[in-house]
Order: sequence, then C-alpha cells, then structure tokens
Amino acid sequence: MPSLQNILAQGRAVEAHRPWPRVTVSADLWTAAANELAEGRATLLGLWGEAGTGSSVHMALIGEDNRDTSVLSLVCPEMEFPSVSKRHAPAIRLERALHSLFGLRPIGIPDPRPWLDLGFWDMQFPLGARSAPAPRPYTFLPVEGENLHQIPVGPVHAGIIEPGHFRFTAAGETVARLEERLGYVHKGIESLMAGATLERGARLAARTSGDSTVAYGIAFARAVEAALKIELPPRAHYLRALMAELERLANHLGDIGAICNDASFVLLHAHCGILRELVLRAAQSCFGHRLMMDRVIPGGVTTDLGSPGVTTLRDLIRRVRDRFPLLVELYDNTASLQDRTAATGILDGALARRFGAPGFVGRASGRDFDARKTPGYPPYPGLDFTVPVLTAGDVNARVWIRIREVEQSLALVEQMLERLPQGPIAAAFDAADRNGEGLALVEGFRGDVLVSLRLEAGHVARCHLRDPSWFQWPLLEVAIEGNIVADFPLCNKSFNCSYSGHDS
Amino acid sequence: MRRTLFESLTHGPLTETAPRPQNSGIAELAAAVERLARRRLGRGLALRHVDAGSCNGCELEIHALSNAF
Repeated sequence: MPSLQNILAQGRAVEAHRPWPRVTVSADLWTAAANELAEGRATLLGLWGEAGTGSSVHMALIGEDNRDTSVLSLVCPEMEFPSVSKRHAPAIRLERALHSLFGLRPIGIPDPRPWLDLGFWDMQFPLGARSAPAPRPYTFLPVEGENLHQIPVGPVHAGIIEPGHFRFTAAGETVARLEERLGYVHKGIESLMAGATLERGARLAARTSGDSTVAYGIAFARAVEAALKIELPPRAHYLRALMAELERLANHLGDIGAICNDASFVLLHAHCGILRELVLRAAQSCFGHRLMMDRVIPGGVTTDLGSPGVTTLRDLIRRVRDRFPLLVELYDNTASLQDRTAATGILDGALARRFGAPGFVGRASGRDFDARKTPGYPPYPGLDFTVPVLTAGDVNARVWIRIREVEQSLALVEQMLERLPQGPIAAAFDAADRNGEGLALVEGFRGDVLVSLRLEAGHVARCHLRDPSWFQWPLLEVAIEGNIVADFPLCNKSFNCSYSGHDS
Repeated sequence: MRRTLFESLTHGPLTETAPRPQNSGIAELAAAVERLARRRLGRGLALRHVDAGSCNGCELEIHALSNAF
C-alpha cells in the first residue's frame, strides 16, 4: 500500500505550483490516494475539476500529523475518473457537484444525484460541455419505519437567513433522518473568475461568503502571492491578521448569542449583539468597512491603521473583556439554557476526523486542526495563542470552543497591536504576462478556506474556492439524528454552516 | 442573571437618534414613498426578505438593525 509520500513521489510534479507540490498521477495512484483517505491516513481538503482542453480533476489533501499538504491531479480525456467517494464518503457531495458543474463522471459514485444544479438552470454542466438541460425529478433518500412523517422546511425561511431546503423525517418528535438540499444561492463565482483580472478576482472572492470576507480575501491573495512569488511587507501580514481576528470575534460573539436565542434565552442574544456591534463599529472606524470587505488585496491591504485606530482597538479589547466574562458566567449558570445545549446534537469524534471537520465543529469533537498553526502562515507562527479542543461534540462544546476562541482572538489582537511592524502595507508587483499556480489554506472563523488558482498572462484562468461548510453540512445531518425537531435550530446555529460559501 | 438585568435597568438604553437625511432629495423621496405606500397598502405594510443570491453580508447587517443600538 503506497503511502501519501510514495504517491507524491511517483506522480509527475507540476513546476509552476506553489507553495505545496501538485503532482499529476495515474488513475491507479488516484485510487491509491482515495484509499489513503479512506484508511484515515490523509484528510481531504478539496476536490474540484476543470473542463475544456485538458479536462482534469484535482484533489487537495493533507497527510498524517497535518504534513504533506499537496494536490493530486488526474487528466480525464474521457471525462470520467475513478470515484473517490466510492471509498471515502466525505467526497460524495464534492463529486456530485463536480458532475453537475463540469459533466465529469465519477465512476462508481454511490450517490449519482445532481448537487447545486436544482433543475432551474438553462443549461447542464455550465463549467464544462454546456448542453441543453435535462431536468429529472429529485428523490430524497428513503427512510423506512412505522409512523414516520416528513417535514419539508425551506428553501425560503421565516427569517432573515440564507436559503436551503431541509427534509426532516420524524418519528413523533424524534428526527429519524435529515437530508439537506442546497444550491439556492449559487452565483457561478468560479465561472465569473475565469478570465478575471486580479482586482476583480479579489472582489469576487470577497463576496463568496460575506461573514468570512476577510478570510476569503486573504486566501485568494495568498494563492496569488504564492503563484507569483510575491513577498509581503511584515505590516501587511499583521494588518490582515488583525482584520481576520476582528472578523472571528464579530462572528463568534454574534453566534454565541444567536445560539442562546434559539433556546429562547433572549437576554444573552441582546448582550452578545452589543459586543458584536462594538467590533463592527471598530472595524468601520479603523478599516472603513464594518465587515472589512475588499480591504485585503493581492500584495497586501488597502487600508493602514493609524494611531487613533490602535487606540480604538485597544479600547474595544478592554470593553469586550469587561463584559464578556459576565455573559459567559450567565451562559454557564443558567440551568434552563444548559438543559438545551448540553448533550444536544452530538457529533462523533471519529466522524469529525474522517470528514476533516473544519473549525469549531471539528475542535468541539476532538479534531485538533487550525490552519493558523498547521500548515501555518504569517504572522501566526510568531504569535502566542492556543487552539482550544474539546471532545463532548455537543452544542455546548461548540459554544465553549467559540468562547475560548473569543478569548484567544482578544489576546491575539492585543499582541499584534504591541508588535505591529512599521513600513509599507502592500508590495508593488506587476502581474502582466505572468503565469503560475497557487494554493492557500486560511483559517476563517468557520474553519479553513481553500483557494486554488491558476494564473495565465496575469489573469485568473481557473480559481476554485472551497468553503469549510462542505465538510460540515453533511455532519449536521448526522448530529441531528435522534434529537427532537425543536432542537434543530440550536444544532444548526451551533454549526452555522455557510449557504453562500457552499453554493457559491 | 440578576446582576445583568439590574445593570441593564440602570444603564439606560443604547438606542441612538436616527441620522437626519443629509440632503433634501432623500426627504422628498421618503415623503413620496410614504404617500404612495399609504394609498396602496394603507397602514399594513410588511416587508418580506428573500435571499436570492446574497453573500450573507446584507442579511447580517439587516439583523444588526434590530440590535440594542
């Protein structure tokens, strides 16, 4: 059985790909890699394709001990490839999407139903051999048993939230199966990326998921910088990380409150909402945009932080530190709230590892992974912070991971303000006529965002953006099983997967 | 919990006064919309939000409209 390293050694390395290797492999090696994933010796980071001349599929993975980040590519002139999900279930939706978008056929896929393509498009395979649509009725997976009833929910919900369809099958109050159907906010970002300038590409990436616009901005920029070998001034790294930690704080603070709100504990929602608003106002004041959209560009950042900004952020840290512990105490000491979150929506640790569950979803179920640590990127290796990990895997554990991450992010912002290097905030570079391939893995609040791109003549030829939600949505289906329907909002909010990032 | 509730009582609301329209055009537009909406819908105006391809940024900010500020 060849190990991941053997597979990489036997493939043909692609020169222009940075910073990690990309190798072209045979179908046999491709299948061997799928086996490595199935055996748990490697974790799938992404699976995507491209069509046209040189149709191919690519899989990004990371080996044991989070080493050997790499991309394997298989050329598929016949538009088919050996299915990875035949051996490794986490690849199922990625392969279904690959087929729906490109027309590439995963041979042996256990679930051949379309994904993202909901039958509303005026064509099939929009990123591949575009052809006339052939809509077929979509069947949900069968559920067998006595006295089961179905509850269809969505795609349009009774709230100001993103759209998605949830098909519950319940036995009384207990959920026997949840099946998701997504794709309602597919915007064709990867199609829009083809041929885009770097400036436009960065703006598209920043709109993949608005709550993670900084993380996407950094991931896209890092992929470009890897492809073109651009070195960033130290201050740019720090300003990016400052914005990334503010984004993490805003999301965690908002979501901790929102989870409590779904247990009808409105008080914490209101107080967490105040702290979230303080973070967003500080972001507006320091960087000129509440969500800090379009502040990260390939080569650096657009906005410098002056000394009034430093004061604003120090003041923010002080105010959050002043209030947050009281709210945590309130969360921990309210029995009626604990009754809803503890032992609810448990995600098994083995599944979390198998799916490479990103972010707090994985870390609440024992998966110790944070892209800021491994593979790591500046300025984080020089900063002092810990990655919280718990094993209970329930809603409560996911809340606690977020509480700990709020504390860590506050400490990180403080450290960065102390050590903020002087100097320029962006590197000048000329992309004209330059080619290259880049891969980036960046830890957003939700988990690791993967961006793979190929530049041709200074323009984006192909760009794939993989949201962390791809490896979280399927786990939500598992976590809700055996829970009561009324606990679904709690479970769902504790995962807080992205629709926009997933559907993109 | 008592402490948090008590503090909230003594601190007063965070509500801020709404910003005044910066130019008369906006005020005129608002008045026109008001007249039209009254005529067509009476006082039963309800807004329905449907996300048909947002990045979720707008949704977050619509939510922020109902925070304590």
